[in-house]
Order: sequence, then structure tokens, then C-alpha cells
Amino acid sequence: MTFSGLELPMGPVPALGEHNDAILTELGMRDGPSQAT
Amino acid sequence: VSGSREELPLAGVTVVALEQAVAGPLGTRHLADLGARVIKVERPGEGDFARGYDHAVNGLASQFVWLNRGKESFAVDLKSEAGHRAVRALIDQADVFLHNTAPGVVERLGLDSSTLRAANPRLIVVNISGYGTGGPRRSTAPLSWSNIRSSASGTGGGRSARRLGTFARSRPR
Repeated sequence: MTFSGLELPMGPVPALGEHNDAILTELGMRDGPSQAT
Repeated sequence: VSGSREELPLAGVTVVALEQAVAGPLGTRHLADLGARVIKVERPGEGDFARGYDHAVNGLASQFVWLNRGKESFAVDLKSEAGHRAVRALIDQADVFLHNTAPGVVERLGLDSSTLRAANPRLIVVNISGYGTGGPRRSTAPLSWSNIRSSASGTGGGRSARRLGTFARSRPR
């Protein structure tokens, strides 16, 4: 997929569960990550 | 337009994806490329089974790398009360929920379109299914999207015939 004048980013490939802490913190559920995951 | 994420067309759009293999991940990878925040919900322990296809790219599966760059991974047990609550909270704040699960899965999980859109009316729900949602095979779980596509279009036989022809021509006479 190409767009003129637009450079699409190629972000990193996530490890499994890499963003769990950040997402649970964002949701205000950081106290119980082991229960969620 | 520069390549900074904030200036991309889908900057500010959040996509929650319950996806695996190819069809779902490819769709959301395009969205991530265009600036959307894509949160990939995966099973704890194994995750998307495509992670284990091979180890060709610095220890990662080539197909997984191709289809999942630029995403966030949220490993969560959807069958646990806490895990389900976390995913629902994410979807309730999201713009898009996409899934390519087997028929009936999201309904059993309470993540069907009607339930989700009752709480978040502006949510766009994308359901990628093997055989559609209204036909006689709507409850059939596909084994392979590629095989379905080839069989339905009649190209599978053609490809096999071409392979046989190539094989026959390459054989010493």
C-alpha cells in the first residue's frame, strides 16, 4: 500500500503481552493484572 | 505529509483486535500503518498461533512479523472475569473492534456486535468469517482462508494443473 508523499511507519513487532502493564494501568486495573492475564 | 504518527490519516483511532493467523492481522496491520493504535488481544502463553509458525526472522515467525508490526499486544484470558472485564473496557473506549474468530466465539464471550454496540453505539465492528454469516455454512469453521479462496474461485485446481505441467516439462525425457 503506497500513498504519495506519505511514509508509513514500520513499528516494532510486539512480544506476547508486552503492553499488558501499560494497558491495565490505562484502564485503572493495574492492581490485578494476574487476574486478568 | 511526513511519516510522524500524529500526522497519519488514522491517528487517534483505536482498534481492538481479537485476531490470529492472516485475515484479521493483515487488516489491522494496514490500519496500524496508517496511524491507528491497534491493540491485539492474545491468549496468555501461546498468543496468536502464527507466532510459532517458524523462527526465520531473528527468532520470530516471518508471517507474524509481516502482519503484526506496529501493534500492541495484550495477553489476557478472556474466560476469566477480570480478563473479560479488561477487554470490555478497552472495546467500550475503542473506535473499532475486529475479529476473525471461529463462528459463535464472540457470541459465547459476550463480545458480539449487538452487545458491544449497546454500550458503545459509535463502535465499528468487523467480523471476518470464512463462509459469511447467513448461508448454510455459516457455522463452519474454516481450516484455511487460502484454501477457501482457491476452491471458491476455482483457481486451486488451475494452480495444481500448472504445477503438474511444470513438473512434467522439467522431467528428463
